[in-house]
Amino acid sequence: MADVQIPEPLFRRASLGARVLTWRQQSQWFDVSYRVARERRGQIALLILGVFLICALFAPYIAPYGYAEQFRSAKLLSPSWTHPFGTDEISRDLLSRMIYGVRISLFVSAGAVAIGMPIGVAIGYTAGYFGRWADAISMRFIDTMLAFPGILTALVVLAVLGTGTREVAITLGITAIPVFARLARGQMLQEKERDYVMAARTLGAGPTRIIMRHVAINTLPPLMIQAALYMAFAIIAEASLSFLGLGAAPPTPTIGLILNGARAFLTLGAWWFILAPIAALALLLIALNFLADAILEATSPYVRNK
Amino acid sequence: MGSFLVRRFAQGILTVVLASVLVFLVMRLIPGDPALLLVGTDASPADVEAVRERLGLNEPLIEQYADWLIGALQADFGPSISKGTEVGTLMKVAALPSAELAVAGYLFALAFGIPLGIAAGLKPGGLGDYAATGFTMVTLGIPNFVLGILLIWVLAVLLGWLPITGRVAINEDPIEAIKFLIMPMIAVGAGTAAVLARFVRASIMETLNQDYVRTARAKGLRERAVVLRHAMRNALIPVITVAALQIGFLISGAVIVEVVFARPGFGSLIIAGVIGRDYQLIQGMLVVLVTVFVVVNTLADVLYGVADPRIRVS
Repeated sequence: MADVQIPEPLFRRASLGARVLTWRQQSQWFDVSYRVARERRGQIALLILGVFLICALFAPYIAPYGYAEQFRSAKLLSPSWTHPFGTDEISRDLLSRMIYGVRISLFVSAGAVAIGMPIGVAIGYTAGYFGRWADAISMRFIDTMLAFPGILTALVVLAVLGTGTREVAITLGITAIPVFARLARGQMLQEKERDYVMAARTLGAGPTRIIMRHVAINTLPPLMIQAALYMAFAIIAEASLSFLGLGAAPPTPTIGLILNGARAFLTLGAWWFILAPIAALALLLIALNFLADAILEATSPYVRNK
Repeated sequence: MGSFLVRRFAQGILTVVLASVLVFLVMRLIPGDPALLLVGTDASPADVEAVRERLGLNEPLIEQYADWLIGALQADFGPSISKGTEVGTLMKVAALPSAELAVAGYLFALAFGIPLGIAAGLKPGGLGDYAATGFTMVTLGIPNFVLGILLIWVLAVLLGWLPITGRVAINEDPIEAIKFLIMPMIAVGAGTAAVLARFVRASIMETLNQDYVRTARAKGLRERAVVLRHAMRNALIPVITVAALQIGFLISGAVIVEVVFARPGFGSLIIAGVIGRDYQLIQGMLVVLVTVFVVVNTLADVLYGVADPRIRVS
């Protein structure tokens, strides 16, 4: 019997490396994510944010106790195996409260970017692309909003909306609008002079197609960096506002509220009371700043391909 | 130089006016009748109407704004709804403690941030550079009010060196007053110090690469003279603008730090305004703060023009 020749498949399955390369060429999102995941700072950021995100999404399953659950004779206990971060003045487990607190921080900051970024970018692109009066009017408005430094704008908006977690998220979304509009306009002014925009226009593409399909993709990296940095700002702002009593109402656990509660018990030696919120806050902020750095490294042509 | 000044000041005034219009309009969005808030819900409709008339709430918006603006220019910001007194009086009492903290925090930021940046910029990779990088990382992860709490824990509770909260007026007991001021000052100024350090570092490193620095070295000047007379003077000019822009953020940060240290001032006042939905109070305070911010930035631009003649021409 003659040997049966097993035919070579005409097309071999592409190796993983080759497939990744194709995905990177097809999607800018994938390419930037891939590069970020290869930067040291990006890896640290993704690891920390990943852990916090899992905690936030599955808080009820991960937290050992409920955030308002009180324990008999467990007032202001220092860290132990049953309560790893200790307990607070009314005998609640601080680890559980922190897990729910981080959840609020992440939801508020992500919500703020989700509200403010699309609106701001739309205003900025329109102003930058069309110029003239559209530009003049919207930029006057935006510069005026940016004349209020830091969280002062947020305080004005909160006075109208009233206090609460949702109100804080909406407020920080509104204050994000001028930040993103300013950036998007600058990017648009730069890009619209480029040859590829001219080429698209020559082919008969309208403003919507040019902005959405061509310019948007090319201005993605700076906007992503700004989104990471604004999330960091929103986390600080949310913590500040709830610390001041303008955010969530007790017994909702937020980083700001826990810190405010802890302040009075420092003199009694309850150091663990401030430890968990400060550590969580610092990790979140460092991770978001690292993420911004990593996106810059991954997309800036000067440092790329080294 | 003359036209540069005029243009810059006109711009500043326009920004303040637009900001005041914006705050005025946004404050009108607050739900509820301010007159009703002032007299209480059990007042008779005639009383409410009288208060509405007195506050000018029945007039058209433009007239209300004009009245308010004319009053504001004479330091009369109308009555505070939640506190029952004049907004102007409330702000006058709060201004001194707040200004004291802002100035102290700013001086701390300049005195700490600029030398740190210089040390880092002159020797990249050296000890100063590591200190500057470490300090920046710390301020990125620890916002001002959290730094305040940490300072209270370490300096006041653990070491017992400083009093925890409160304020003593400078003219009553200068030494006590400074003791009360140290921690809030650091908390308010640390973030600005880090921004300045980073910027000064970059500016110095860039200047040291310039041709005129090479020329100065080539003609045999000692390194001290090169750095102090040639590099430093040019490197620090752009710092003026960055340092001025930081003042606004410093003031908005002071609002929270004041609350951490239970100091009287704008912070507690503005929070009372937000909680009480006191439109007159918020309106007055924000316009004053924005004015301060814009004036400082305008002055910085003018100073920048004085320090660097190239700006005036372009």
